[in-house]
Amino acid sequence: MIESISRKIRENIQKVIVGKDEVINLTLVGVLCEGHLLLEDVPGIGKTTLARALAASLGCSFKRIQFTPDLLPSDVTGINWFNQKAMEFEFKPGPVISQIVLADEINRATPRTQSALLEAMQEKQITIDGLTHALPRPFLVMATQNPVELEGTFPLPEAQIDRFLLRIEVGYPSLNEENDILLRFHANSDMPEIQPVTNPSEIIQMQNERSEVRIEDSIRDYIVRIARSTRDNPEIQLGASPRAAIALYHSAQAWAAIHGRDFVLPDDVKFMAPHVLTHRLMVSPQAQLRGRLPDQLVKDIVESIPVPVEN
Amino acid sequence: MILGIVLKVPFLVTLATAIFVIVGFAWWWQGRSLQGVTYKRIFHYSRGFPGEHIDLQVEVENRKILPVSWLRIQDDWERGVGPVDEEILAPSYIQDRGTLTNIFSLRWYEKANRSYDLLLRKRGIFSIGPARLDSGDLFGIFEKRQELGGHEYLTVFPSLVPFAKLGFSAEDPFGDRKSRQRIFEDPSQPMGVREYRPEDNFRRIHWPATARTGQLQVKVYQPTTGQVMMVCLNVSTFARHWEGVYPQLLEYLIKVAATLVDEGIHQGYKVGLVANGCLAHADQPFRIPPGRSPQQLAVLLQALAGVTSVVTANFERFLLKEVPRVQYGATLIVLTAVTTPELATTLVQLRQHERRITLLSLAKEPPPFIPGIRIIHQPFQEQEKE
Repeated sequence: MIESISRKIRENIQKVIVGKDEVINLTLVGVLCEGHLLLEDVPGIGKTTLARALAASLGCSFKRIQFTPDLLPSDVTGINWFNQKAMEFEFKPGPVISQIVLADEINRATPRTQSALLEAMQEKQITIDGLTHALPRPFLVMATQNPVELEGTFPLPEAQIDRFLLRIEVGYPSLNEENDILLRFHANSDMPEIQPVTNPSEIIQMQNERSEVRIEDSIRDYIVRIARSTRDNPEIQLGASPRAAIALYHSAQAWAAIHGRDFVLPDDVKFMAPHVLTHRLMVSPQAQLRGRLPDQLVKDIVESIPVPVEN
Repeated sequence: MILGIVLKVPFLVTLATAIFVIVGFAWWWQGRSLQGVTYKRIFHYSRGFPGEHIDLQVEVENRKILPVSWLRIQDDWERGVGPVDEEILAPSYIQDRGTLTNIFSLRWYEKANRSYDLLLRKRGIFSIGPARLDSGDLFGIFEKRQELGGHEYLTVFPSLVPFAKLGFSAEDPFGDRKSRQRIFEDPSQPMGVREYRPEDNFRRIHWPATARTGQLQVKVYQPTTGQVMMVCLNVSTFARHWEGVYPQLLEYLIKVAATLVDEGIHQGYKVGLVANGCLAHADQPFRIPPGRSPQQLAVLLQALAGVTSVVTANFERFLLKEVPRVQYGATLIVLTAVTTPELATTLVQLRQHERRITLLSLAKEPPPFIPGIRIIHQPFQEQEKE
């Protein structure tokens, strides 16, 4: 079921996004794990379009928040306002109360406003004036940030970075893909309307199916060893948390399910590790000065750990 | 073969046919020998300081069924970042360059690795490659050549000198920091909101935020003055350019500049760099604006790694052009080995732009007294030579 619906969603999204099979599959991993996605890349390569197309394909409610330095936490979560006609306080929900939330340029808001998303992302609920509101399911935050600009931005705190299941780099299209983009949108740049190909209840069912994908003990141990070795590496100041290990476990299951398997291979873990771990690691200043990048470190770690094999 | 047929000598016919088949086979083989062959250099680090070691792995892979009977890879290499054992690099006709030669024999879909320990010998940005791959057929009759690997760069930063040696005061090395308050703010760059205080201007009130919270809220803007430090480097080692270059002094100047930017970053300044020298393969002076990116130190040191002895502009005119672009309240460190009366006049002029200026002179003669300018005189001495 997961494989066929994933294919339908992918084909639907590809009505507006040319190519990018892998990126779309990774966003589907986020959907299957109900984990949040951090889309990090330069402007103009389709991050927002991808988020919109995904929301439309899933038949979920969608809200976009443009993060700016003067955005307040209540602009994100909502407020209780006094209705003078009814003479009582009424709750006016903020944009976070939606199934798919696009937090555009998340690092432009102050840490206080960024933190307003913390409870929503982890607990899938928000608390306003002591009253807790559950968020609709499935709930997925897709945040974008531009890695080039630093002035006027507030880097995401580690606690929040850790709450993102995956960091995805969309990347520039290939030569053929860029030609296709121009061919498809030569008349105007309006995106065709996308119709839903699934619905929220089916997605929840898929999420349940994903959790039943089998992982052998040896592969589980492999995941744990990868996570632990990031903590022992002298070039890494802050290694992967247990939450990162759980994220790697779930995303490997989702990747296997998208490819039509009900069991996880070590290759699934190897493929997902850079996407799950890179943004969570803090490279030591000495290694950073010498040009070491988190993705190189993750690659080296993954390659240094023996892959479980059958006896 | 024709002769064999005419003379009816079967041996000659067989021999000629065998030669023909072998040559044909060899020709076919060499045409395909380098197809699907990849070559990669994997550096553990791409940057470092002189004296440090970098692990290098060269990886070659044959991605096809046809084996590669022999493969010679000659990689163009700078001796400044060569292997610890200098004899590993074969001589080259270009000065300070050598060739890293590896010979492999690869079966179908086989990958081979070799490791080297590189030693960073001197400051600079060193280009590696491209690699020349030679292979051929099984019998060694034909050869095929291909270039692969492209150019890669290794950066060797200038080494740092102990900061205490430069003569800056230990307590507040880069001058007074009178206030950390935001004196000037940029109204085009809001950075948040806070509660209203009686001294706040009404124009600053953020009405939507006030309506939402039920309490007066005011906008907070980004400061236009921060702790900004600009290092201005004069790469001239003599007052007149026709006198040439004093290489040891130039190296020391660059080391001191590197030490200043390193210390500035560690003291929490946004550090920038301007120099009237140019980078290798360029003919313009360079300017790195102050920044607070985690990569800023690497960017500054990388620029200093690439500084050449070519002077692109008169330092005094260069300062007058560059300094007005630096923001108000910034600390300027003017680093030079040549102090002239024109420089003193220029610094007095620059003082009027409300910048704190420190002149660090490495010249033999002490610089003249310049009102309003802090002067540190640390003449370059023999023991500082490499």
